[in-house]
Amino acid sequence: MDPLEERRCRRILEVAPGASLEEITRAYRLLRQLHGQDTGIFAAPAMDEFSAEARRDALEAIETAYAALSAPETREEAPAAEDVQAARPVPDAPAARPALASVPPGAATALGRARDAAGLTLDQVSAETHVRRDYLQALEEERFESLRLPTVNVRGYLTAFAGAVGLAEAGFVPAYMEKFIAWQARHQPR
Amino acid sequence: MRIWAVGGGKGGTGKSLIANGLAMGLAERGGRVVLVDADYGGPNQHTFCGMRKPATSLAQFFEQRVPLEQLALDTPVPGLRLIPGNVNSPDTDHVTFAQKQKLFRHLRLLPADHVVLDLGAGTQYDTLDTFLMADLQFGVIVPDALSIENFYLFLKNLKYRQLGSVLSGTGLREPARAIWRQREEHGIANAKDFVQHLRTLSAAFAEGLDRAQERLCLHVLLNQVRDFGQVELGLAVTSAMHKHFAIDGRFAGYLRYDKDLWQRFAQGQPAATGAASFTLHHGLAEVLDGMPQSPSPAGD
Repeated sequence: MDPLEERRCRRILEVAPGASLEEITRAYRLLRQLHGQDTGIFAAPAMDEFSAEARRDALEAIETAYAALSAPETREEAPAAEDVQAARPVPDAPAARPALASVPPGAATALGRARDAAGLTLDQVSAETHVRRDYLQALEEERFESLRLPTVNVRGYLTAFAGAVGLAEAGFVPAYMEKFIAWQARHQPR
Repeated sequence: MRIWAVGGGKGGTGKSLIANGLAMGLAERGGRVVLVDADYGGPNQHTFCGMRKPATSLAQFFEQRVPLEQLALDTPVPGLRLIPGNVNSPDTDHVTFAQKQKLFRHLRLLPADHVVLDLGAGTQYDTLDTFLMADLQFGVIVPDALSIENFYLFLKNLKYRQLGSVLSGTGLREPARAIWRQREEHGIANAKDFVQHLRTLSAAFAEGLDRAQERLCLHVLLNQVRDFGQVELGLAVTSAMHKHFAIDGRFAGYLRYDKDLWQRFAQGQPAATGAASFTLHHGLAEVLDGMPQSPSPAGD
């Protein structure tokens, strides 16, 4: 399991870095009990932070983290070198890969075609949307493995990108996200 | 030296008493402790300490530049000194941020192992800023929905102040405003998405925020527990703080409700000693014994 991912999971379960599987299981049971209760007065109903969705997300994150940490096969799995690279956001990634500048315009995908049609470079789109260029490029080329981001960010960046290049097709974002989420489900450690 | 701050939003949850008890407990363990009554709106520490009419107060530091060392008065508890709040002037509630920074600079120069700040209720910026400046933060709640709701509001405001200072520090205040205005286009639904968006945008921001967040570890203390089942609430609030407000913390423990405690105040002796209230004294001792031993920041 990717060490960064493991650290993230341990944080979600609120256990120390060296915690044993037994401690992890205990922590998981307690958290499930605490966050699973419907009427607990700790969940301030008036606050957005405790919306039904937010509470479901918190519970889901707990389940996913426990599943990842407790599955023996994921603990033995060594991450591929390129995966580790992709999981860590590298601020100067575009500069480190100068070859990308010479990559021909991405006419292969809908986003690429729309960007070509609008006559914009990725840098221009990046300046306008405030989204990092390497994320835009990964979105355009549908390289999902380089988009290790919360789904909400992917959707946000995608919407901004599509808006900036004038891709007005109504079903574009949902269809793309469906593809992304399906990919994510296949690649998430179970 | 470590500066401890006790806060938590709602009034009447026992912040002042707990600040007093923690300071006393630290002194009983052999530390040199200075307790500062920074609850400008409702200073009580002198009474908790069993002192009738303190001759000086913190106001003199702000108004007449009297050194803190001169304002720290001996209390009946060996090792514990008190800088009282001002009860005799109606207008001490206006302390600027610059004044608070100055206060912190001077506090760090005091010959003491611990400084305990009683901050008072509310989520005013100056309370939050002072809270964030301390080395160790305690949040006090009681097991009822009102106190918990106010505590969350306190956390929310704390996050907001923290975010603001990191944005200013990285020069991103204006771009962040622009992004927030266009949040729908960026797919940002709430504060959490917003922070995540800014993180991916700027490595300096992400780093600054990580540092600020690492600094903040809130110790949640559940006061006035009448029934053991209520202790679970302390755990739930601490976990919710992590899950829903992205603030790291730990459940520092609970204090049992003492129905006779009110009679101990203003009796000319400290209220949190073992002789005055065994329940409170014992509970606080457990809290202090359970504190993780981390290396002291700044100073010694």
